[in-house]
Amino acid sequence: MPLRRLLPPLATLTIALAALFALACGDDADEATADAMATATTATRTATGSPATGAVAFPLTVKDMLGKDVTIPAAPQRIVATSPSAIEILYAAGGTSVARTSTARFPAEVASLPDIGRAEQLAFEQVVAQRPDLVLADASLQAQVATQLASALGGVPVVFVGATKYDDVATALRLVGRIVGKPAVAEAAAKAMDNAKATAKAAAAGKAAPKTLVIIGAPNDPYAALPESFVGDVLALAGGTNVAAGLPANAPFPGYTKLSLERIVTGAPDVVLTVTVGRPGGPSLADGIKGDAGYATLPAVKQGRVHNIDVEVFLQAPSPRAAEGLASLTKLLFPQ
Amino acid sequence: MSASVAPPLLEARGLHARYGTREALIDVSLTVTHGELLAIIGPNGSGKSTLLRTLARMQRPTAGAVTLGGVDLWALSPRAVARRVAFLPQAPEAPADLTVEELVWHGRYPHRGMLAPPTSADGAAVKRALAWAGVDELRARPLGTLSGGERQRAWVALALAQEPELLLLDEPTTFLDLGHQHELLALLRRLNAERRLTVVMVMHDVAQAAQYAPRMLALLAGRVLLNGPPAEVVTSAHLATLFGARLAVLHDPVSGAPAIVPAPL
Amino acid sequence: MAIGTLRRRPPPAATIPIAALVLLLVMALGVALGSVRLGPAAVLDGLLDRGDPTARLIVWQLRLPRVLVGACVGANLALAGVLLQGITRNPLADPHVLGFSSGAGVAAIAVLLLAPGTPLALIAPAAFAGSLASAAAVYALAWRGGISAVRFALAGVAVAAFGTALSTAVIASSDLFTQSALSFLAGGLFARDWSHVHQLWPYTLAAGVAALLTARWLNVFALGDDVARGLGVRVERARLALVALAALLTGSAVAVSGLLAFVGLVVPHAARLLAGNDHRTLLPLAALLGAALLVLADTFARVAFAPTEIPVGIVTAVIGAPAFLALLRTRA
Repeated sequence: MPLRRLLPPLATLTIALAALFALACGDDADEATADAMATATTATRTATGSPATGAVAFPLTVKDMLGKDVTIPAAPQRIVATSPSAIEILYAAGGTSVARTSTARFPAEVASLPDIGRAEQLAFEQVVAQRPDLVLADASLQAQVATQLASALGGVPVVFVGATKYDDVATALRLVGRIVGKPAVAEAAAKAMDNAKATAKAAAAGKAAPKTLVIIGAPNDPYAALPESFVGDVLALAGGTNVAAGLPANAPFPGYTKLSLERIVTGAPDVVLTVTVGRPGGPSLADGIKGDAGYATLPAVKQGRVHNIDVEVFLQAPSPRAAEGLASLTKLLFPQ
Repeated sequence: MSASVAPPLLEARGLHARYGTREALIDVSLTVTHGELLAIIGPNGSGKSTLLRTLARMQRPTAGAVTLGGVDLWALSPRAVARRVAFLPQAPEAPADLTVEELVWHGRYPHRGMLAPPTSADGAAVKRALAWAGVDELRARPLGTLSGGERQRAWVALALAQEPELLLLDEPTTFLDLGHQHELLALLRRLNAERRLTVVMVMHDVAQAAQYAPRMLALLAGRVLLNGPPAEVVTSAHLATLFGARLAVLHDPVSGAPAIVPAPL
Repeated sequence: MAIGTLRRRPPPAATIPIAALVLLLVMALGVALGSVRLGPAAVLDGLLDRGDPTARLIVWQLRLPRVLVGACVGANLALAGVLLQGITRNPLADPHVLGFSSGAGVAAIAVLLLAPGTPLALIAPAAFAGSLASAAAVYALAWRGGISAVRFALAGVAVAAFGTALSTAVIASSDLFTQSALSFLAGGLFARDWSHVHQLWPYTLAAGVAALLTARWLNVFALGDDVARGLGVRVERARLALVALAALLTGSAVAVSGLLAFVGLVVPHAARLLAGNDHRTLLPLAALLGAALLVLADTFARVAFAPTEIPVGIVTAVIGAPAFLALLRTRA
């Protein structure tokens, strides 16, 4: 009995290991994710034909951002979005959620909704108790518990959305827009994101790209965002040169590298952007760095170009607000 | 020596054994017949304990053989041996809150199946063992509350509950005060005399061994040096060979028990 | 207490039905309580798989499997603790201290190293194998023509330290996403469902029954290797079987719950304080208490700050340590 129970997972493990090994040999993991997301976009488009205008017919089958086909039997009336990111994408695509996660603060109207716990550790029974007819889950935070979430919901469709790159937000918007029956609203929001990209590119054109470092953590325990991270991607779109590019992703979370002060000094960034994790209203990492003697020789510190940027927009909740975030980076990198 | 004569209870022939990497027994032979009381003596490191462990099937000899009733000890299962031979190691330890009766019940282990409930025969054997070892009054007492002598008698009761033909003891009087030492040895002699229990014990104190054991086996550097009654074994000359010290043997004028004192220079 | 005896304990056999009752109550509590408030009728309907579908899902798909997983994990770890303390005659032995579970952590991290992004479901079998491997390593390292209890404990401590160091080193320096490995190392019962129940219960049942059958071995082991051997126990063989059993119990539990310390160490002692050293009582009692402690702790972890959960490992220590100290003061 135990052996028979163990065999399927062991077999799966072997196959998965072999497959991933093969993948790792030929390809980069990030490219693989990008491929999956590209497929998602294409599939979405082919399914409807004219995404921007046409009314959506149910039952509707979509490929979500984990690459899974999900069939939605009827237009959803009670959607539960299970992370700050998913909530913002849902609202920007013209939908509403009937619950919020503990830390979700945007848009402001969600504050009054029932709390279903933190996105990293959802109270599944609170999700179930909302009697949702669709759950919009977070592809970065909740992929690990996809099967448990599905079995807890007893057949309610679960669609995973998320963004590890700026462009993923637009993909997610278009996907959610079709689900909530407002493809036009979603398309407009997605277009706004594309426009913000073009604006940023124009602003940076012809100017010298400032050497930039994006730091999170503490002044004596800094981690830098790599180009593969969400904020790293936005930085590149804004026209900054990432000083940390090419360093190994050796932080205990993806897309970041652990830095030594020596590396920061030798990198000599013109601009340091900080993301402060912790209690809102607490001291910012930027202030910590400005006051730390170890950083005093940096050009960025000498020229007063150490800035704190929004932790939600750039780290915790990748969302359509990234368009404004991109514009704010343009201002910081290329002041008038 | 006719074929109809029953084989001796325990016999060792040409025994070699190691203690760690050291050759601890060299060509040791001995015979123990039913109803005997034998003391094994010798200086530290002479192989006394290794011999006892080899006789008890605790340790496999590197050469030679031990037979129990004519059958090789290692051809028998440990349980089969445990039903006939009880072994009491030097200074055994048990949980302090184990009661005497609980301890003695363990003696029935080799007689019981893995799942079998205790039989009335088991209960009777435990009761007898408690009585014979003189600990039936103490049966409900945790071992931690007993004196050293009482505790050692409880361990003897455990061995008796095995209903063995042969009892092997490794320095049973270690850590006991003088009164308890004699009490325990008297108990063993009584069991030997009244219950026909064969006893082989390793002894540290030569005079005590001579007082209680009708036969003594002296080991020196892993070999049998002497094997005979105390009067033959315990002599000033032999003690000099065994212990490398000038010792004199005196005899108690009343009992005739030997006493060993440093020889006058 | 009867005059003439120094025993201060209730009759040991009576503790088992009491502990079973406690476990049932705690499990009922675990099913009744959660971040969503359900009436008794709704809970009962959910248990009978009828009535309001929402309550049914909450009770049947979320609470019940989690309570059952907690009970199995708690029982497994407590039994493994009793076995290891019995084998080593060391009161500080437990699956965690002896490295039986640290191998699971190393294996989990190794899988993520070779295959970043592997889901938790695939980490579990690796953790199971890792746990068995580290148990085998402890046994092999302690072997020198036989196993001494002390050498076994020391080898275990060494393997545990090595495993922990390896895990920490890999986490600190690797260029991979180790969040799932970290959450695995922290342990817990978040999002455990029926698939985990199915994965675990055969081990709890089979290894649990086998553990109960070894009670008389363990009783004799308490008297020392020589006495055990003298009573006819094949000591090496018995010890190998007991080690394998402890490894199965630990590995299967760790594969489902991650690393949870404390239960395997303290529950056996609590059971011993209540019912004495006889493993025929001690083993079932420890299993029941271990199950009850973990279910109670997990219920608290889910409810106390709902809808936010706190790590169950913290709760077991917070509930268990004072309870254990109280026992120690009144009983010992």
